[in-house]
Amino acid sequence: MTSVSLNAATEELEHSCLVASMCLLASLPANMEKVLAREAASLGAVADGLDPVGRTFRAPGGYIQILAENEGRWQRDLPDGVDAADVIDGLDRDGTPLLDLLRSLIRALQPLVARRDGDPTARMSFDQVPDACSADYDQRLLTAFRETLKPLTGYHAALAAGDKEIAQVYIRTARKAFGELSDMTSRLRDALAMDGDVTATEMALCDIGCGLAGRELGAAPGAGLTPTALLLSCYINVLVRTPAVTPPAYLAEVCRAMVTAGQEKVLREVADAYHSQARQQLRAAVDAPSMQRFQVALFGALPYELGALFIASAARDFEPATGRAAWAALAGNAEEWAVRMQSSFVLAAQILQDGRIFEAHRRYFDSIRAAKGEQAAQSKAAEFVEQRIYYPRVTLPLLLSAEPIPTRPPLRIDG
Amino acid sequence: MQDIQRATAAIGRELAWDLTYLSPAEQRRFDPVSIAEGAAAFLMMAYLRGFIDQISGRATKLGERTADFLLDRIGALFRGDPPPTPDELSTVADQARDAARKDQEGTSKALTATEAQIVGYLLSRHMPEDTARAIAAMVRTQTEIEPDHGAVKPG
Repeated sequence: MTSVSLNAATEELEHSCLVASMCLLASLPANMEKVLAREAASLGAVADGLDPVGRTFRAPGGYIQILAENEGRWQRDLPDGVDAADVIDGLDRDGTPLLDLLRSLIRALQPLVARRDGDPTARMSFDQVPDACSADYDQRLLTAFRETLKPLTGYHAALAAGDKEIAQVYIRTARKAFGELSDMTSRLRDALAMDGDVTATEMALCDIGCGLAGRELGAAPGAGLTPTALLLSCYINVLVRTPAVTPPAYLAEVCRAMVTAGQEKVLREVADAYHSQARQQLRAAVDAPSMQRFQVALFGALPYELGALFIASAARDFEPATGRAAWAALAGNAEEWAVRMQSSFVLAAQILQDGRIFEAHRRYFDSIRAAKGEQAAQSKAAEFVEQRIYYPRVTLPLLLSAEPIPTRPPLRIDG
Repeated sequence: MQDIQRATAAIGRELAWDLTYLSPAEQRRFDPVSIAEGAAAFLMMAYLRGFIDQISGRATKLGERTADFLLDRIGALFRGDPPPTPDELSTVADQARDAARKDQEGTSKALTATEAQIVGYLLSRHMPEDTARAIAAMVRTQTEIEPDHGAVKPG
């Protein structure tokens, strides 16, 4: 992961944000789940050949009503004027759409694990699935990371108190901890790469998973894990993104300490640098020459956008009224793009499971072409690329082509 | 007409990255491209009108008028009001062309002042400064008012 150029005083915050961004996906704002659910409802309808507009879907804990092409509303009770018989049940499951999707992926991977029955590490990883799905998993993960990151909070507190010697001790401790985390992440990634026949999406999920897997990282250095266990670990840890919603408390503490120490401007520079880096990588994703390069760039952008979001959200919540609007504006934009990336991940996971999604999207554009003309179809396809960031721009001719194309088979499970 | 549409589409594509800065706080997510293009059309309209006001000496509190116009119209756009049509933009573009032709000397100064007002509006929405300047510059480029002969190509 490349680093943004910042002054040395903020190095440790930068590093912590990169690690924390990856491990705190569970801390996204409360409406994220509903946005994802709405998006999944829309995608599901497209995949089934239905126009989602005007339809109501049963979703976890309520209903999602798709009001227009890009507008939906989640509500707890059946929306007024909607007959219960007209509600589509596609999402009436016990988790969020992403959670359900990933659970089904893990079910699909079961034979793969069974094939490695003699591998205790793989078995152990698979056994962790129910635990990772438990309601307090994200809390426990956060607690573990707060412990890891305590030295950083201590550093800023010491700095604010003017105790530079103690601050230096904290810096050394924090750098050592971050260095170890970083090394382990690299080794895990390398181990997976060595296995061959791994898609870029899986690699990217691995990157996120490795970042998320604080507990696993702490417990088992990468050299001891098999690629299968790693892959499962990725999925397990992507799962923790879906149960809600804990504010990144330790990060707020760090931000507050920085403001107290007179480093508010630096804090803003860090947040802007993250946001800018995310934007750069998002643009690179849209311009990528292939789906695989697109996904890698997209996954690479996420930690930076989340870093900007977390810092801006924390600052917005304790900043005096004068600066609050500017932080809120940054948080709003960062959250918007983080949500879009999340939605794109939902799609990537669906494509992993079912290669016909791309073809379904082509049929969707065909139906728009038939109803509203070529310009409308092109505009909608461009929206899928540039607004929803589902695909790189290079796929536009394919998305809009009437020619049949070979579709990617569903995720192959041997044995 | 095609040029006006191409110009609003080009600005809209760029603006889409930062549309949240222009949207009301309670705004829903995933605004379609058409909203970004609508906001782009209002930016062009504000720029062209601002230029006409500026060059014809009606520039009193112009910055406030530009910002108020954009705040009001782009806010209404998010609530479902329509953006200016290509015809409306073309009409104002014709007026800007005439104004520029009559005062070629003042055109360059008026363009710079008007561009600054667009930047001012975007900054008032807390858009990052480099982004605000890039978008305002794009509006100026796409409207193609040229000081030497006062041509306004789009439309």
